[in-house]
Parts: sequence; C-alpha cells; structure tokens
Amino acid sequence: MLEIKQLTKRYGSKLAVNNISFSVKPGEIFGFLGPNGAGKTTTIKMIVGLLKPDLGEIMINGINNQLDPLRAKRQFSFVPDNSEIFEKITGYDYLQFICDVYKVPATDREVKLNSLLEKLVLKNDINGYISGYSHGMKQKLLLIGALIANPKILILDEPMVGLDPKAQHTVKELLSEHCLNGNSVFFSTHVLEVAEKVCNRVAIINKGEIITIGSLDEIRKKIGKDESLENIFLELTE
Amino acid sequence: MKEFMLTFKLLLKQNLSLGYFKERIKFDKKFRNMLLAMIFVLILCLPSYILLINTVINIFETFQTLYLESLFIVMAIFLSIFLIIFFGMFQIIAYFYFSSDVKLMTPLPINPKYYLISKFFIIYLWELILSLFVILPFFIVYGVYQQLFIYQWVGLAICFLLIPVIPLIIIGVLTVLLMNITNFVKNKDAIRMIGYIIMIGGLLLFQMYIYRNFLPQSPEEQVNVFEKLINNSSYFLDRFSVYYPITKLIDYALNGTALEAFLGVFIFILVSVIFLYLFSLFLERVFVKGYLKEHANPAIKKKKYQPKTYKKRSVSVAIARIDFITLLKVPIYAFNTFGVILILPVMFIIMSISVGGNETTEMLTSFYKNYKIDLWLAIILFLTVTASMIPIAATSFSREGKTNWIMRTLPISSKDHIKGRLLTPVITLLVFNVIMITLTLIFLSKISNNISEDFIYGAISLIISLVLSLPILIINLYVDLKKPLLNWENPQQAVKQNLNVLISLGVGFAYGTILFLSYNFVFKRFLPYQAILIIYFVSGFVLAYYLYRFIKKDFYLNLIDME
Repeated sequence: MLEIKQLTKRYGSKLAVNNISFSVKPGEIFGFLGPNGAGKTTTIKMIVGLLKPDLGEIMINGINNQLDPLRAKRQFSFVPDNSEIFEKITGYDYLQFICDVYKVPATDREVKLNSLLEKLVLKNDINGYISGYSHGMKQKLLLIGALIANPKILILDEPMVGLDPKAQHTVKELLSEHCLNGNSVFFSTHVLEVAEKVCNRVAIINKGEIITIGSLDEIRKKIGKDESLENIFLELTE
Repeated sequence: MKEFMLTFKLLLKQNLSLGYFKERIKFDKKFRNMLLAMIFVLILCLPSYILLINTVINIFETFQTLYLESLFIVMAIFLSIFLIIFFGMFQIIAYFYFSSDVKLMTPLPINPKYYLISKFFIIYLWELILSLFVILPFFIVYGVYQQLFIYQWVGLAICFLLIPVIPLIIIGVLTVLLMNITNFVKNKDAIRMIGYIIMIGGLLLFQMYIYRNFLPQSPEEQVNVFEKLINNSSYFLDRFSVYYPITKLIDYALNGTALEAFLGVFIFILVSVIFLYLFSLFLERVFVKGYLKEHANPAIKKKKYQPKTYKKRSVSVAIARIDFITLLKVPIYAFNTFGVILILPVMFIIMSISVGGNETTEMLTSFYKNYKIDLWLAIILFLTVTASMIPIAATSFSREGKTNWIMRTLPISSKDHIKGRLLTPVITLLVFNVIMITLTLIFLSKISNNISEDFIYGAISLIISLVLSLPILIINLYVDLKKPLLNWENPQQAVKQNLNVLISLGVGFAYGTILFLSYNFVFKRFLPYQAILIIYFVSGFVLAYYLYRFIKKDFYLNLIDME
C-alpha cells in the first residue's frame, strides 16, 4: 500500500532522513515512532507531498508520488500534528469542501458524515466557526475530513494529541474499522501505549535512520528481551 | 517602566530583529532571493521617488512666491494624518486582535497596559518608517529653504517624531470601541467591515471638509487672505490650529524664537505623554475587557445545530467559495481586497458631485464629443490596471499561511487550483467594473446626447477590460506560487507586508504602460477603434491562455517546493 525506498532528505548540512526504506501492507495499521527531531514529520511531509525528497522513491498504492502527484494524493488522506485549519469557516463548510475535493457522492455525504459526527461527538458544533473550536475539536474535524474520503491509506501525524480519552477510544475503533476493508493506516505517535495496542507493526526512527521495524513480537525477538514497547523504545533511542 | 521596556524589547526583537534578519540572509536562500527582488523593486521605484521629492521642492518654491510657506507645513501634517487614518486602523486591528502574542502575554504577571502600549509603539515605528519616506521630505525641504536655526531643526525633528502619536491614539480608541461595540452583534465581521469603511470614509470626508473650509473660496476672500499672509507668515498654521491645536505648537517649534520653540516642543511632548498615559489606561480597561470577552468563551460563536444538506460542487468552485468566505470574514483581508472596489467608486461619486455649473458641463460635453474613443480606452486601461491593485491573486497562497498544508495535500488538479484561485479575483473585478461603468454612464448622462451608444461602449469596455486583466491575475498568482509569504503572525503581514503585492502593482503598471504606448503611438494612428478593441481582446485572451499553460506546467513542483 505504501512503499518507501531509500528515502533521503537533507536540510543544509543536517541529514534529516537517511536512506530509509519500509512498506505498509494492505489492511495494516503501521506505527511510526521516534523521539523529537528523529525525522518522523520530515518523512511524513515527503510522503504527502509537502517536501521534495533529495533521493528515494515513494509509492502510494502503486503510484509514484513524485511522478504522478495528483493520482497519488487521491489514494490518501492526511491529518497533520498542528491542527492548523481554516478558522473563518464553519465545520460544515470545511467538510463540504473536503467532500467536493474527494468527490464523495452527494447521497453518501449525509449518512457518512452524520455517523462520524455522532461517533466523535461533534454534531452540535458543526455549524459553528472553526475559530471557536478547541484543539481537540479541530483534531476531530480533521479526522472526520480524512475518514469521509475513505482513502486507501490514512496518514496521520500524532492523531491522538488533544483528544479526550473517549475520543481516543473512538478513533482507535475507527482506525481499525478503516483497515477492515483492506485499507491501511500509517501514523506517527509519541503515545507508545496507543501504538502497542493498535498497531500491527511499528518502525522506530532515530537520527534519521530506521533502527528497528516489525510487529512487537518480532522486535522483542530481535532484541532478545520480553519488554514493553516503552522500554524497547527507550533502550533503542538512547 | 521596567515592565514596559521588557515587553517592548521582546516585541522589537520579534518584529524588527536585526539578528534574525542577518541569520536569514546567511542561511535562507529563499529569503536572500526575496530580498534581492525587493531591492530590485526599490531601485525601480527610485526614479518615481526622486520625482516625488522634486515635486515637493517645486510645490514649496511656488508656495514661497505666494507667501504660503505655512500652508506647506499644514499640507505635511494633513498628509501625515491621512496616512495614519488610512493605514493605522488596520495596524491596530492586526497587532491587537489578530496577533498571537496578546494571547501569550495575557497570562503573564505583567500589567496589560505595559505590553499593550509596547505593541502600540511597534505600530508607531511602522508608521514612522512610512513617514520617513513620505513626510520627512516636506520637513527637510521646509527647513532648508527657510534656513532654520539649529534649535529650530531640533524642534522640527522632534515634531516629526511626535506628529503620528496623537492621531494614532485617536484611531486606536475608535478602533477598540468599534471592536467592543460589535463584539456580540450578529454577523459581526460584516458589521465591522461596514463600520471601518464608514469610519475611514467619515474621517477622510471630515478632513476634506476642513481643507475646503480652510482655503479661501471667493476672489474677495483670496485677496483678504493674501493681505493677511504678508503680515503673518504663520497664517495657515494659525487657522489650522483651530481644528487641530497641536499645529500651533509645531508653528512655535519651527518659526518661533528659541524660547517659543523650546516651549512649543516641551508642551508637544507633554501632551503626547498625557495622551499615551490615558491611552494605556483605556487599553487596560476597555481593550482587555473586550478582548477577553471575545476570546474567553468559544461557545458564544457556536450556532445551533440544524441538519444541512450536503450539496455537491465542482472543485474549483469549492476552492473559490472557501477563498471568498475567508476574504469576507477576515476584516483585514476584506478591506485590503474589497476596499479598492468600494473606495474608488465613492471617490468617483464625490468627484462627479463636485463637478457643476453650466460652463463646466458645456466644456465636458464638448470634450466628450471630441475624445469619446480615447476616453473609453482610458476607462479600459484604468479598469485593467485596477486588477493589480486588488491583491487577491497576488496573495492567494500567502493568505493560507500555516493552513497551506490543506490545499497542498488534497488531490486537487493544477487546473482546478488555478481556476478556483482565479475565480475570486475575476468575480471581484467583474463587480468592480460593473459598478464603475454604471457610475460612468450615470455621469455621462449629464453630458452626452447619445446614451444608448454609450451603453454599448460601456458593455464592450467591461468585457475587454476583464479579458485584459486575466494575464495580470495569472502572473500575480504565479508570483505568489513561487514565493508565498506563509510564516506570518497576523493576517496583516500576508497582505500589507507582502512583496508579492508590490510586484503585482509593478506588473500592473508595466502592463498598463505597454497598453497605453501601443494605443497612443501605434494603433491610434493606423487602425479604427473596432480593430483596436479586437486586437486587445484577442491578445489578452491569447496571452492569458499561454500564461495559464505556463503556470500549469510546473504547478505541482512549485506546490511541493513552497516551504
């Protein structure tokens, strides 16, 4: 579903991402972990077309995102870590816009949106201006916008930040549901507990390089210790 | 005072930091290129600036022969106040209401009046930088030609520094009151926009009223004034001080004895300090109260849930819709983009009302009869160049700021991006052109005897000017695609402090000059009017098409490379 080959990005003399390769399989929730400044966001930015890689190839559902960016973008939806969103429109306007861009059929819009709005408890706020939303509400809106498009792969940068425990639980369920139809989820997180519970596989990146990749059991086997993901993470990124 | 200095230094570093500037020159290639472009634009503007200074000198020399030196200084004060009315209000809104640092400072254990007054001083510094280029030449020319003494030069420098303070405070008070009054009104953004226009229009009209009342109208009055001028060189400063008493202090500083100059400057400083003190109290009590009310409870912005139908739109229309809503909802965008289409017609109406009398009407009728074709082509030229004065396309990407990731990651084709982003300025221009041509036709009905023919001219001009504007809009969009200003703290920066807007003006005027030269020196001599119109229509269309193809070609590469 997502294939990264020898991806490299340099900022001046600093090597932000150094020759990384990995793939995300269909139906998989893939966690991308790493300490601050490890290269997670840079990698995600290259995948979604916000940054140009210096070297390497990114294939999204078999489409090269450098050679055919428009078709590549039709395969994914993206939620960034900062919740920067148009402030002067209503939540309803934003979702309308996303539906128009992803060409969601008019008949599906009402049913799907109402269901998502109810699940994430945003229905009563949807006609309000986004400038009045809290960080968590903006995050929920972005997630609904990403899910309504029903993309082949959901790319999320720290999706749980700002969400209350109930919303976090709902999001976890929604991500799992999304993968049931053969779609995938690729997300970065600092919340190792979430990664441990939700992800089929994880990759840990540090100083621009992937230091380990696989399911939790595979990683435990590799390092030869039966530790929690938190301990593994701390040990590998020290 | 310590708290004031602390916050002022911080804000100074944030807004005008030389260290940050040096670092960006050293490490940021895009910034270096932008700086080079800015220097290039400034060099291009240099001849015009020299012309402006020469004009100032010529005005003074003419005034001197008529004993009108005092009127010259009144003009400078007038111009200074005009600039503050025009630009100050938006600086106040941007720095006080749309800047993130108020949110950061409010929870700190600092009395709000200190950081708010610090913010005021930052705005004052920006106004001063503007005054350095526009107002200072007046003062220097006055000082040199009047052969001022050293103490008068010192007075002149202090007066120059103090002139913006009081008008800016007055504008500040009015703006904060308007924002507070409209805080809980339904459709407050629209009401505020109307409020700003009424306020600015009202203040400018008041200025015009004073200026008209203040200058002698009838021949008898003129003789009377001339006699007074011979006896009193400060006559106009005296007269103007009735409306704006500070003028009297400036008069003492520039034309008085050493003691008078000292007292004039001293009182001016004292009055300014008192105003600043009162303003700081006003900000502490009125601004903070309103600001907290507006930001404390997001729930006040909620609308009751009502099920809505989710309509399907084309992608380009969806982009244009979001753009339109944002332009209308952010007052700074609204005024800067739609301000021109509101102010120019108002100025046209004022000018056409002031034209009167049988003699003038006869003269205009004859002029229109003889130069009808030239006049309509001038209208086409004017409407075309106006496209560069409406900074919608030139700030299309910049205005998105930190939300730019949305449009850049969504699956939107280059064609839809370009169409959607051009739709807003095209509709805006269409509305403007219709208003201006309708007003022109109303005006012409007074002097023309064939209004149905004029109507056809008007319709043709509307279409041709719109087609001729398209290349300007596409170039502006391309410039903003290549070098958008995305990292801004308040929306004012995206429009007012954006080099792309300046480049857009340059493009518009260069394009207008080419159209004018081609008409005046080539087409007019050899071709009939109809052929000229066809040439303009076709060339505008073809140029727009090729520019569209050019921008479309590398659109995605530029989109990725934006940051």
